[in-house]
Amino acid sequence: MTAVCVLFAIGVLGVSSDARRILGGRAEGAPAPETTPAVSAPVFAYGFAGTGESALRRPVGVSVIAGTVYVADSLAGHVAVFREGGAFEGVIGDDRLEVPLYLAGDEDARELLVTDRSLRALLVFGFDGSFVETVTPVGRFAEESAAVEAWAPIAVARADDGSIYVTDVADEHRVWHMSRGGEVLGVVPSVEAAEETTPSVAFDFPNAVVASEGRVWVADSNNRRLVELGSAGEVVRSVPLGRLVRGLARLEIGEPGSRPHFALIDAFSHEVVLVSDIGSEVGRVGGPGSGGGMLQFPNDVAVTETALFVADTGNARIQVYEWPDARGLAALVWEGGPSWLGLLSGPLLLAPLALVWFVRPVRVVVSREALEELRASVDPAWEWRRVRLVLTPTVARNAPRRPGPRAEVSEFSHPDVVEIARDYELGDANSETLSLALRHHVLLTGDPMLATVAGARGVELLDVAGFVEEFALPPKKHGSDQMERRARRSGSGSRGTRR
Amino acid sequence: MRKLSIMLAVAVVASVLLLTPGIALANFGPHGGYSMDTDACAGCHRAHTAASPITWTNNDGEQRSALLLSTATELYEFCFTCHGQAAAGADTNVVDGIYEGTDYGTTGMMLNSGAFGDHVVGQNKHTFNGSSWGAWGGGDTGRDGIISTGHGGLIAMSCGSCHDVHGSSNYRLLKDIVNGVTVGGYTEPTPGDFVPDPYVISNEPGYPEDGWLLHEPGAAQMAGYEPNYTMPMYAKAPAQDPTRGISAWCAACHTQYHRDDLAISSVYDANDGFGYTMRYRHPVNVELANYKGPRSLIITDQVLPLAQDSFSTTGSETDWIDCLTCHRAHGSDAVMEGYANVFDSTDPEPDSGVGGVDPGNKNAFLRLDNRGVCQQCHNK
Repeated sequence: MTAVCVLFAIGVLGVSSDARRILGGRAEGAPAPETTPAVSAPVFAYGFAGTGESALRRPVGVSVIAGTVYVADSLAGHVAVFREGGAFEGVIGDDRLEVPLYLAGDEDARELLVTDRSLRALLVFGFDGSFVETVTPVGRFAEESAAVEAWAPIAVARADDGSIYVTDVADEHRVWHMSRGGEVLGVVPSVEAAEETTPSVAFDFPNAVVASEGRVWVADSNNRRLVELGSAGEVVRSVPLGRLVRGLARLEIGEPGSRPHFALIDAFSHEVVLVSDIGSEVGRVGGPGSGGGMLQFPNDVAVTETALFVADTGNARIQVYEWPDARGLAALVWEGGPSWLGLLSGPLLLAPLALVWFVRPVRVVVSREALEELRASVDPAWEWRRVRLVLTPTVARNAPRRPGPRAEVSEFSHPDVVEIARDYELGDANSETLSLALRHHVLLTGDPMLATVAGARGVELLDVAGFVEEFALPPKKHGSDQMERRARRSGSGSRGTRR
Repeated sequence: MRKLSIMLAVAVVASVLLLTPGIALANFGPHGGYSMDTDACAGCHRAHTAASPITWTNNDGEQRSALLLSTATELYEFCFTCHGQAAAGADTNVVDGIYEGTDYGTTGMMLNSGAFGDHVVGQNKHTFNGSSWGAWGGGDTGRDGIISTGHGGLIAMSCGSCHDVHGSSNYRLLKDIVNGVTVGGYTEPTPGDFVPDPYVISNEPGYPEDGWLLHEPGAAQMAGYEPNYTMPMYAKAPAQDPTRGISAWCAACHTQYHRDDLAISSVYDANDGFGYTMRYRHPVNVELANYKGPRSLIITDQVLPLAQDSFSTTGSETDWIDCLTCHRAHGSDAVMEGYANVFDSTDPEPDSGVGGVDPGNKNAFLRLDNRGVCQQCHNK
């Protein structure tokens, strides 16, 4: 007991320093974390779907810019505009768009970039709803009309430097890097690579692109992976996710230099999954259904400092999840991870489980005639130490119930019984009893044949007198008995009368 | 030093390329050609934890769980995730009926099969939302297709009623067993050796006329296949067997429209007011030369898709007429007016219908307005 307490105390001391670091956060002036921050999952806060003529019909894209939520509604053929709380503001592109899909904002220019699956175009609107222009890759196509045949933009993202990335599912599926005016800065895989047999990367319906801090990530939807591209368009990392990834948005967590994390949409599992850039899952929200916070074939996600906005396509609504902690997305940051002392001493916290050893009852298998003899010889007023009689179903059938210690019926191994019966010719009942005795290692019996075989197989044997001496606590002898028990533990430790 | 840097860069790029996982084939996507160690199953199914109540129908007509991911209650929700209106996972937008891609058809053109979207075809479409429906001419008496008089032998209609998303021996994933009727499949002359035995094939480039093989050989077939989703390239039935082909496939539900005995008449109730009586029908799976009229059929330009020996933009008198010559499979926006829009065949008053062809009061998914499909060939 003392040893258990000592080990537990060491465990507590070992992990307490780590616990203080988790709960206390990083001290002012301490260096930024270098490892993966732990991210708390947001919780469902509210949703909105518009009403009447403003009701969403098939929201497939969502973007949140300066407190305004823009929703691409592919069936309605426009972008619906809401305040963050869900108040309807109006629509954009009703007379221009046919099947809008994804969108991105340019806050500097106060413009919204929208892809249209039917028009096969990237259109630009002012935040006030005015149409600005259509952007196509300049210089890549001989005629403007040819662009309609040559590219089919679906996802769009604005980089920190003002350039844009656009995924294209015409012919060879590509990611274009362009200036806002459409000047092509790069394309992956390159147009020339289409002539080659092994292009640098082959996308299959890249449904989202994120450009941040000079890095680019592509949700390669039908290939079910996340691809990071380098500045020259080379593949930096390809992370298989096993998910039908649609929307993708970067989480603003941790300090500069910490590992990037994303919220991504898995349309088939109806979830928003929070993952790192190497695919480590750190949380998920949503789940299938139509109740609050549940999703049905979601298609896109947008992130703000405090919330996730999800285009819940199947339920024709927007669902909003907020981080409950005031510190936002970085609610838990475990700088440097666990210490060595914590790792080594942590398992010692399980030491109290060893106490189970001291309180567990001793199980003694009992044969039929020994059980009857025991029941006939004991006083109902007696108390018993932690002992449990184990009976086969055959012994238990019509056996006397009381007095005596508690009993339990246990199943036995039929193959073992068959083998015992064949080898020792004990009969079915004794073979069943012996098979249990071989499992529990202690047998109470008065049957000489059974006792002989059991002893030969290494089972510890008790007769009724020995059992009573070992486990019974007659009331008048209670005090001295405890002394005897202590003395017995410190002595030979033998149980009753060994036969 | 410069050379060393270049070599290192090449080595790094090559390593990245080698470590990049294999890609899915855009052609046919996840539909068929699975290897024996495929990961594709887990893309849509969960063996022990599936949350979707969607079922499939076995050969005994019993409903069994499809073990699908998601809680979708109808299969079309699952299919439309890729093939829906925004078509964010496939180029075949079956809601608008538009081909959105560039490689396997004409961009922006209507799909060969037509559309499902209410905003495109209204009620003029095969039911796809899981509702049960009767098939006109269904059953031994035709009365299986008559819901209005309580005779409906109802068929649960979803994408999976006609298509096997895992592939089949037939063209366009058309199922091998429909409504309990075998219309394709595989023979097994030796154990483990599955030989396709299709009912419906195609003249598209690279199409395997003997049907789709299973596993890696099937994937190899797909790699060389160039489907055309906007230009019908229908083929005659395998081995030119008139008891097969798309007409026989459709007749798995529309029983009386094409029968194994090739009879062009049979007794059934069409629910048009004439009751249970002998019905005569336009022959299918026959050559155009079969027509011996005062003027030859127009066969020089193929406005209507005919079943051919090999694809040609101009027809031939040896071409066959079949169901898809006149009808679209999914839905049609053809307009019915005048005598093409009659409510009661026993008293044909023009424009007395609800927008379509008696007795269904729809446009019967005809390819052309009114009776343009008749005139295209018969030139009356």
